[in-house]
Amino acid sequence: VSRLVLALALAALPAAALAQGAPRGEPEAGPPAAPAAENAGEEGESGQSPAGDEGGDDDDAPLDDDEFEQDERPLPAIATGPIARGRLVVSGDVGWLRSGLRGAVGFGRGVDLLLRVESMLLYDGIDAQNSVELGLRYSPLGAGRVRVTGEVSAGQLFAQNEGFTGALTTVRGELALGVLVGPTTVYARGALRGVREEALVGNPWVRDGELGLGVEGRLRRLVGGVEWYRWTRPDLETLDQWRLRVGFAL
Amino acid sequence: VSASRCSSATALAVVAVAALAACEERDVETRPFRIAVTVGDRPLGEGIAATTAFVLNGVGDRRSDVALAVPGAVADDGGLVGDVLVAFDPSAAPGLAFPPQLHGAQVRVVVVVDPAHLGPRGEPLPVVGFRVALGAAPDFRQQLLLSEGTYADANGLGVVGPAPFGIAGIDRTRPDVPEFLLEDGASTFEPAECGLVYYDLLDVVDDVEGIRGDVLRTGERLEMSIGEAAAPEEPPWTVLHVLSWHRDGRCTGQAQAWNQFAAWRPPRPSP
Repeated sequence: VSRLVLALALAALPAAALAQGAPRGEPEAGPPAAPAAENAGEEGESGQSPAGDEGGDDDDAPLDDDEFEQDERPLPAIATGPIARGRLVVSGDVGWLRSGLRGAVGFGRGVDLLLRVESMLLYDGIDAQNSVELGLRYSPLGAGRVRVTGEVSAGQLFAQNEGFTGALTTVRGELALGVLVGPTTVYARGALRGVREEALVGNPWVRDGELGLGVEGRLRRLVGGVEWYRWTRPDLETLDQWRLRVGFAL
Repeated sequence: VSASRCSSATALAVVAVAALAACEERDVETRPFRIAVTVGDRPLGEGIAATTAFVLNGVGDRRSDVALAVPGAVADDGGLVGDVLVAFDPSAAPGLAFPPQLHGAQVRVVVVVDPAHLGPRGEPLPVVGFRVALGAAPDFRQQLLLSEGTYADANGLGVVGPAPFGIAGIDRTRPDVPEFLLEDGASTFEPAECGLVYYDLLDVVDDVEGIRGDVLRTGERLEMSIGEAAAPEEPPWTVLHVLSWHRDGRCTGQAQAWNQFAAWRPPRPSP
């Protein structure tokens, strides 16, 4: 069952990416008071560097000629939001202990919808623990050089034992702070996750957390990054983890 | 801009190399009680072929926190067993000790020996548990029990072994010992060399009422009263779940599962 769910989730990402193709050029129908940053998204990446840097890539051409507004548009990123309304950032990461795929769709007003599937690919393929999570991300600061992003998500964790496969409910909260330096975003994040272990009496939630530092670089619509983080577990030893990320803004 | 990109690329490369160097694995550190029971200078149960529960009666001589002697111990049928010494390694449960009320009192010790039992690293570990009671037949009141083992079911999930609890002398019409069950955990694990090692849960059951008392994660403890109706003067048990785990994949020589727990009663309060 877990493999089926994973397969469906993996299949959903490229499908969602294709589905996002049509609205790329559509103007946002948001209220007039909405900041320009919510409209432009990845198209505004040239706003953070001289236009000549992007070397005539038509995909990166600004939506309008207002240079001031270009400076207010958010750059595409993976770890931090926001994503412009109707736009999609798909990414894959390979890491230790966890690897995964994720898709994020911008809803406008700094709100993104996230879908994330993870496995322990390098450790044991998909035979160890797999998870799928759906979440919302809010980024009140998305247009300037500072990014602040909060995320809440929930999902299922598929823990496979010998002769037994169990699905556990997970909830997760995350806060990320990023600073843009040229085409690079340097960020720190902290996450807290609860896993519901039904057998426990009283409080069934088992907690763990992540404290990470990362950097993302951008080349046109491509985003690459690396992150180091500490996996913290109450009463157990903290373990160092890492991930390499590649994403594409659509 | 080019300098900025160069520095970014350099930073990425440095972080990537550092990250790739670390694929941290960790196994569970398991420290058995290594219960040792000797009769004279010979191990109890030497030469036996099957799991056996030995019953030893006598006057307790608490030599230290972790050593209890029963000089001139006799079996239930009155046959002389000899000078018995029971000892264990408390490093997995600092503070665990033979209760002081055992010293100078009539005690009944039940020791379970499984000659084929191997420890978490494949080492011989034949004594898988014991319990100590105060009193003489038929009025026994249990005071201390230790249990550990690498027993697993057909699915590789840990189970409590042939415990010294429920056999050889406990009066089930007047029980005063909790019962123990293992549940496989799924939320907490270690990424070990040959597969995940899941921390399991210990069910502590009040066998008088047949009601689940509580579920303990590794390192947790609880207090539980049992047999209050028959002996209201007996203090409650303290149960300590030292460590339980099972492996999802294992290397040669590693046990599939492990469980280790202890329970004890403090001395009765002075009247």
